[in-house]
Amino acid sequence: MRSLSVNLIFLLAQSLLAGAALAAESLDTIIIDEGYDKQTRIAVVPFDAGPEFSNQADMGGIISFDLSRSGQFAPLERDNMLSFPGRPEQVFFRDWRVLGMEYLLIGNLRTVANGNTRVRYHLFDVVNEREMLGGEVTGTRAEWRDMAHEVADAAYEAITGIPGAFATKIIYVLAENAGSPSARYSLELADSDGERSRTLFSSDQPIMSPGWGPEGRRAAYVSWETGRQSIIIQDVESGEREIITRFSGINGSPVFSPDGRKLLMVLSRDGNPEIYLMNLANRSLRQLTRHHGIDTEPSFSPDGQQVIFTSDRGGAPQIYRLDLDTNLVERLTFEGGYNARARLLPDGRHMVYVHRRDGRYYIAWRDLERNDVRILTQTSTGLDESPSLAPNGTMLMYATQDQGRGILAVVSLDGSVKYRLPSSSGDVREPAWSPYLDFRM
Amino acid sequence: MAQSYQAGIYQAVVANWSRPPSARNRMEAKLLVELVPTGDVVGVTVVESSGNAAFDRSAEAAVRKARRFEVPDDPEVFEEYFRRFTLLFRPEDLLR
Amino acid sequence: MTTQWLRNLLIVLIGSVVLAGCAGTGTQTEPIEPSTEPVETPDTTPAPDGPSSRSAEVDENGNPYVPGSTRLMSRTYYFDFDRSVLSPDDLASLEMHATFLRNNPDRSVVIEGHADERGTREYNLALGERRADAVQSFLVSAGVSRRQLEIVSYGEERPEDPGHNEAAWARNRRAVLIYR
Repeated sequence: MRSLSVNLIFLLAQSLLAGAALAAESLDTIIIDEGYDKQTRIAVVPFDAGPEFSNQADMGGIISFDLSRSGQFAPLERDNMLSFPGRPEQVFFRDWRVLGMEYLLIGNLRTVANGNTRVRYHLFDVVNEREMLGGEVTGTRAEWRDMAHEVADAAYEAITGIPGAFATKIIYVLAENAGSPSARYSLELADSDGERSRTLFSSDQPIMSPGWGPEGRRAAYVSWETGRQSIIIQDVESGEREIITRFSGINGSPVFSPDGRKLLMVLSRDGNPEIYLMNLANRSLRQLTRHHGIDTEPSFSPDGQQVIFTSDRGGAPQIYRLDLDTNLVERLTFEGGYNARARLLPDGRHMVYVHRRDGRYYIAWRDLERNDVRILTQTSTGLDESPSLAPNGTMLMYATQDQGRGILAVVSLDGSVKYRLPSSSGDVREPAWSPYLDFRM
Repeated sequence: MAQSYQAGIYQAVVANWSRPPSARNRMEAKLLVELVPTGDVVGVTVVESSGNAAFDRSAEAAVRKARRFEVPDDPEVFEEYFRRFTLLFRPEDLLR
Repeated sequence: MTTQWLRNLLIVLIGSVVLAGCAGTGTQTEPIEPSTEPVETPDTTPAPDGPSSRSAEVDENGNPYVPGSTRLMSRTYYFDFDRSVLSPDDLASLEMHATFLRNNPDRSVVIEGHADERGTREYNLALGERRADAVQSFLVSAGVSRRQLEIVSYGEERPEDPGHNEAAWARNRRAVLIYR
């Protein structure tokens, strides 16, 4: 291949080429340095199910909704499908290519031993005309939605390279008539799409700051059920509860360590809120901060080596980072007079937190290396709080208000999609997204 | 001129390149593209993987979705530059 | 009594000035007219028969009356946005509680701290505690034993007004005395 060097400078000078460039070392190579990211077009064909499944929820529909709420997929409307294959031999790529599809997901259901349902699914790359993935999941009818979410997770990972987080759970606080004599507060568990909610604990006293153990089997939260604040750890499955702390003053912000053996917390037993780390095996406490200001809202870095927290030691709440080995503290936020309750992404390099701008509170995203800041939520009420990340770091759930009611909403980290979770009554708040779960509950 | 056709290829691929969320700036995948004189894509091969299958597939799909590129009528120029050429996918415009 | 009250007032005012980050000069502590509540603290020496005298002093829930009246002492104190400094208007009322508690050492009170809904919940919990602390500090400096006092912050979790506007927020930034 002949050198194009004579023309290279001419080419680079043409600004209308919008960044087109040739690699200097290999002049016949065209470097593609930008893209035009679109939602991935996928067809999720209604799963082939016999009449015995007619009263079950539409599994393909659940999967399709999962993919669309990620913001990264634009599933094809069923009315536009030309055929409804349930098995690989029924697939004709041409049918899907003319519809502009990039991927195709099909499946079929059978009743197997013990009345369980077996779901077989196949994912095809339409553009490159090949099957990418085939698999099966089995479960009871009560696990119908679990199976659907698991198939969605598998397809999502095969296409995007990122594990799916649809088969995960959330816990959150439901408050009814808060502040009134008939107040009722409950800790609720639901699927990550808000479906199948059930109550884990209920009290006429407030419940606050729920969070998950890293194994997804324990929840830690704050309760006033004894007339003062306590930190509780509850087994999600059995409902068994244990009071972990009941000091005078604040007993707040419980957050498990990544290995699940320790619990960060805020105690004001010495008259001022400070951050402590409890060893759950022997309940010993290590005091991490010592400052006359407010130190609160701790959380771990993914490697467990650092703790980020909110402090007003500089005069207004800002986010700081403490190294657990050196005890050195570093301030991370400087923009504006209110930055609080930060959580790090799984990559440890990005963080989400509550940021005040013009008297309104939004969820912000920050690149800690480049110090880029983006506002992810801009609701009209400006009362966004409690950001909680999906375990794959692509979606964020938060609490906000709509027409005077507390609701939960989700935004993708690239800001491309926002949706609300359904809630029937009361104020819902403080969502906590579970880790990946390798079991069904 | 070969370079204006190459610019056309660049633009056609960019317009069809939808990156997966796992893509990061400066990931690199190198693809060998084979055309026939009509400009139709007849072969796309990943010759150097980025290490991320979703990224590689998105690059491959970007070429396949383009399907056909404008190429010069001059058979000599076509054979020289467009029968077989490589594309290096290396994003610079992602958020992270 | 009056000198004691003035001494406490000065302590709290100087405290506020320091909190506000100013040099604590005397000129900052301009005389305050405590307005709404009577400044005079009537003689509230407990009657020798002890608990039975409480029937005149407190209502059926044990909340104290303003001495010599059938009006209950106010038990809620409001704060400015993001602040935990007592309003000078509230000091006379708090002094009445201090007197009552000094004279009734068997009574105790829980000081609840509350915040409005703006900002994060755990930070608001700390803000609520600061407000309760401000009340506790006043009562202790007015001679009330710490053993009679307990602080519980509820942050924004138990609003007095469930609304989402300035008026509701103003009512929710408060400290409340709960007699036991």
